[in-house]
Amino acid sequence: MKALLICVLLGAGVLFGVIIVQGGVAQSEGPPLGLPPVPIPEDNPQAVAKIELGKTLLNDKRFSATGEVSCATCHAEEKAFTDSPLTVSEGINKLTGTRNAPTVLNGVYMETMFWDGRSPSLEDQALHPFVNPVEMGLEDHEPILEIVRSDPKYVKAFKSVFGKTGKDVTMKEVTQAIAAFERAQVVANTPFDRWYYGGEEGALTESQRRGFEIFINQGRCVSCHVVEQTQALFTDNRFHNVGVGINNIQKDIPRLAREFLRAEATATEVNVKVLTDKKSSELSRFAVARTFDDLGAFKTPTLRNVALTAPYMHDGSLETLRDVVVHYNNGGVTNEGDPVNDFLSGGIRPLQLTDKEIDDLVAFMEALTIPEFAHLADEAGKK
Amino acid sequence: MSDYRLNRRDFLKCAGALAAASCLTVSMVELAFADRRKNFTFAYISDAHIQQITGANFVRNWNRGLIRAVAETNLLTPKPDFVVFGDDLAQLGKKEELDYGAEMLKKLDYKTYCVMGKHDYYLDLGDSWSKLFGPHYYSWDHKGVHFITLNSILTYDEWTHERWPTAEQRMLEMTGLDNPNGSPFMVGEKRREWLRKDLAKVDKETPIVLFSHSPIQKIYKGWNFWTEDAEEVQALLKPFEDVTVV
Repeated sequence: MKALLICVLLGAGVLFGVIIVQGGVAQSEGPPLGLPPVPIPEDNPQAVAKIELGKTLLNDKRFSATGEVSCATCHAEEKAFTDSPLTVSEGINKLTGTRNAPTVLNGVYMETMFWDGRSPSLEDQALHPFVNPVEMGLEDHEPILEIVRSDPKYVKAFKSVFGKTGKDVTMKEVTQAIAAFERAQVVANTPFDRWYYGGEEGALTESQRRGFEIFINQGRCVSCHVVEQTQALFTDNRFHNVGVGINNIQKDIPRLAREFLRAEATATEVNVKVLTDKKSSELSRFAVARTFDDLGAFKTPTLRNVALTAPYMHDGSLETLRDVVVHYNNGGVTNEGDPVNDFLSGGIRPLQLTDKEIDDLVAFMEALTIPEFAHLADEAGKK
Repeated sequence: MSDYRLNRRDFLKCAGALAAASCLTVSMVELAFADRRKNFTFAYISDAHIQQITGANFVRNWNRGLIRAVAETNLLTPKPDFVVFGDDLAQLGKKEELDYGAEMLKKLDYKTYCVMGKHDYYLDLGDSWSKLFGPHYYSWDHKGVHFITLNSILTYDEWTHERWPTAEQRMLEMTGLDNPNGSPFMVGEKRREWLRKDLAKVDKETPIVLFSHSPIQKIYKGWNFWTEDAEEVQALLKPFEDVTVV
């Protein structure tokens, strides 16, 4: 009695992977090449209908104060689940936040959510943008609950997925469905995966192979963008000050840091502050953890599809992958000779890469594009 | 005088977050009294090992470590009353290394006390260090606590003054671990006599904090976790009720 039904859930937005559905419970039958098993929380098992409901919720613009912004506004599937080419995300009334939208793809492997890790799970994360004044701008979650408890389509879906109606439908169910959809966005099978894990010799060009050598050696990239023997998440799930953003507020650090050290802020207050106050935003993880090691430290993003999601870094301040490599090659400063941040993470140091090596490293990152999204690279090339 | 008595269990409270924050040891030390209102803190940084490669070129990682430690110390909230820079500011005792390190330490927003380390000493026997930071050993009082820094990295005169053809070689010999050419640390008679006189002025109930590069113990000679005259120094400290060696 193993697999009752095997179906490829493209319709529900699952890009890859075969899902075994057993008694209405869906589980991934082995992750794609290059990725570890998908961690699924016990209290929120995957199910086809739940994933589908999550997709609908993610795209519902009624969950914003203006009726114009949904989660998908900034995590658009056709933009590899980002809002590229925006530098920072645009919420209601074109209000801008302080950070560049990270992709939903493979977000399930992140141990914490947001650039500063201030949220512990996909479920918790989904609560916050609804009520952030520069994102979806709701006063509280009530308007969402009114819609999901009354719109016949939602009433039917929540009854079918959770067996709940009326007031029993809460933000818990809403965020569980959204998280289930996000957990289904597990993708890999890039040229790199086929070459490194699949033994497909011709999957990478010569330049890309040289780029990988630099990635794991002189470039020191692998220290944070982790590649292992059997899998590559391209993140260490940790936080590093890489000299972006924080470099612009050097003189304000003592004042800003003390504000956070003195005042105990609630999660919501931190959530609003870091997206509405550009300078406080640059303290990043420090605003959450309040340890000096985390000053200006942002979470290591994954790299699959990175060629499609320009601009780069938490603030979208670097336009191209080449700019990013040059920044690291300079030892954590965008313009050579600029002052290095006092709190720069220890691993960031000048790399002494030649122009050709920089090109190779960029070529390697272009080998991390997922086939289903490759057409976006062509479109980007035309711009 | 119980107000001034140190609570030994709480005496050294190191902020874990800080200890992990840098390649250097940066610690916030809280002196806890029975009357909490009398508590105060100082920050402790040590082992920068600033190392010159050539000219104005220094080992970047060590520079970054000290720069970071200084910047973090300036952010400490509440502010510490003062900073102690433990020892080993330089790697090979060069004037350039000490000057560069001192320049970085100048950015500290607090009164800073420095302790002599072996890496600071064995090239020019502390001359460059002294020009920057003053006497090799000294004491001061702060809020009812007597603080002492000892120069405890001296050794036998013959080893220091006669054995080595160059000062550079002497410096290198002293930096090696398990070095058969090494020599054990000691405070020495002259410094012990100074300590005896210094302590004679201090009430026996006054808490004492003593900074020393080598532990006033005999733990492992090969790595110089060792003070040849540890027993004599301990004897001088014994009459005091509360003594902490950092």
